[in-house]
Amino acid sequence: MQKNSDNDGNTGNETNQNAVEVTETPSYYKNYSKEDYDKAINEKRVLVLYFTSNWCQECIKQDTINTLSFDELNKEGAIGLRIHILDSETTTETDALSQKFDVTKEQSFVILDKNGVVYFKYTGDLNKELLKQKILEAR
Amino acid sequence: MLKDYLIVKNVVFVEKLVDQDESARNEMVAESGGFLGVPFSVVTKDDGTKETIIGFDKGKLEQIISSFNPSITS
Repeated sequence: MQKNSDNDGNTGNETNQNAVEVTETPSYYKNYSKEDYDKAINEKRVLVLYFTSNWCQECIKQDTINTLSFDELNKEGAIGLRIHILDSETTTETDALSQKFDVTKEQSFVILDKNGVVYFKYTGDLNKELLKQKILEAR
Repeated sequence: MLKDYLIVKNVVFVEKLVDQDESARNEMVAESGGFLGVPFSVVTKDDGTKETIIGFDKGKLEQIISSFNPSITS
């Protein structure tokens, strides 16, 4: 009897909407695609470009840090793209991007703010906290 | 990019190429606390205190430069 009374006027869906905070534009970090790049620019989202090479061990370690950082900044709506240069996975598109942003070495970051302007550029390893800080500053 | 920015802002700087200059590399390790990455900047203020900047950090650069010359804005 009590159970029926609780359900009066409420559906299960409504209960879930109240309980779960919905993020419409979650952050994500993935391999480069023009679609995602354009999406970041058009939707005015912070865009992190990570220039990497598949033979670079330090880049592989950094990639794990990047993934963790984006997981922890899930609600910020930032987009991170892994861009291959100087390796077997490099394409004409990724090569053109490295030239566009004057990146000549693997393990390089370029962070664009919501207006598509370079806010931060760096070559080397970045710890999780510093990377998260730069992403948040670029908002 | 960092050099271009500093030139536009009329900031005098000394460039040291740590991949070619061992003493500069050692200096960088000492100043950065072991951080190795480029660009890395050390700003020496009039009172002798130093401030370090990792990467081309537009926000921090603007903050420091404007503290030198409040008339300069981004």
